[in-house]
Amino acid sequence: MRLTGVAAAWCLRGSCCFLGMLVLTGCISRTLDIGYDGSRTGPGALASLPSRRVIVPAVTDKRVAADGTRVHEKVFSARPVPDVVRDAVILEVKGNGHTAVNESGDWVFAVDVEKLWVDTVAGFWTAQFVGVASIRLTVRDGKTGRVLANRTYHGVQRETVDNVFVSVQRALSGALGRVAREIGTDETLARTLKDAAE
Amino acid sequence: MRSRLELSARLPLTARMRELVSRAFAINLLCAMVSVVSGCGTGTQVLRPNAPQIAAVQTIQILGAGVADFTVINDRDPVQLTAAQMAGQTLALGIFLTPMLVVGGIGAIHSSTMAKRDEAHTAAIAQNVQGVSARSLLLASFIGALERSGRFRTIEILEQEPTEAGKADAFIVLNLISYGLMRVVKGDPDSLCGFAIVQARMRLPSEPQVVWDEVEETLAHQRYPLDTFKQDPALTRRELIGALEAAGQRLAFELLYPRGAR
Repeated sequence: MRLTGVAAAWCLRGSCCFLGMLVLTGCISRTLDIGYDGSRTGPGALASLPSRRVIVPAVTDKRVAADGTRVHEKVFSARPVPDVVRDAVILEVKGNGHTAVNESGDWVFAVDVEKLWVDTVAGFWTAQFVGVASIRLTVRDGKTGRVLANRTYHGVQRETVDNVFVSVQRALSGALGRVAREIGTDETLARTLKDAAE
Repeated sequence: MRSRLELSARLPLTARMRELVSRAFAINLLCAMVSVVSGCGTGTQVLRPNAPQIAAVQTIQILGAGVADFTVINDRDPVQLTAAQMAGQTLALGIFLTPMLVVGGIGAIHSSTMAKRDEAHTAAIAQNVQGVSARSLLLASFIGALERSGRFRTIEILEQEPTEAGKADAFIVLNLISYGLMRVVKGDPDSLCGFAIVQARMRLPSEPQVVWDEVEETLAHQRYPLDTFKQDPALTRRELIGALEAAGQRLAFELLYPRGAR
């Protein structure tokens, strides 16, 4: 009787582990709070320009093979993806010494999000998540509406799985952080905006 | 003495489910701890230079290090484990899932087979990137970004670590840990991209400790099937060079745009 109890207890443990494996391999869907925390932000090439008032309108979601808040087959963002991306861009704009405003801006940073997704690659011992972010930025003169620059940025971040959902968050936030930092450190964009101002 | 199972069997279904979930959570937590302890986790510490440390730097010496060869990581595990780390993982799996020896044995055979497959992929594609000097490309990109900025007076490339310190305001070592192609999307077929893993370390004569110690993992954003890389040498070179140059540029930006500069 005691032996049966022990065997059953081990069986239960095995079942629990199986459930854990389901979570680890992403078979159970989950909603996560995804966003860029600004840890990469700091003065970049854009900071070489005089401080300007920048409007960042609502971001357009142009992702293919993704809908709404979905960022993985089984993972969803708690907030709409365009809002998450807009916040990341605003953080980078502010980090470069400019002011984000809602109206009467000197520049308009119109953003289309083309990718925000995480892919899984599992091996025998380990697994990894690869977060990918791609955005298209169109900078317009706030007064005339003239297009000053048109740029595409990509960010890719790889994370090894330790805690599955933390890794997904890190991969996506990392990719978002990289893409935002690409804007802040884009010397071509800074030069274009400087030339346009002169 | 009643077993815990017998006790839990008397609980209502929802309570048992709750117990099951809490146990699963505990197991996950344990697995996560084992992963981190055995070194599979991503708890790497990044040390970056700050603005005041960089402000006084006018002359830099740079050493390109690393003897990494082109590699393809397609069938292997995305992260290579040591024998001790595999033992740790086996222990974690063995306790909760199946007898340790079986898991360990299967794992070892699997790892060896996959490593052999990747060796074959590497041999097939390496000829496409013959003549690509990865370390030179990385250094050229890093130094190019620094020079274009006009921020530093002198940038000197060293062939070996200086025996006497203090000739320059900063001494940087760029260590190319690994580069090549890596599987990043599981699918039919799987997709790979160019990658470069580089460690940057910087010492200042004025400070006893290393002020910059960071591992930059750069992955190209374009992905292609393995066969495409095998068949298209120009594309393979382009993707690889792109990843190496991007890694060099990103590391240069850490010096040019340090945190806390404003």
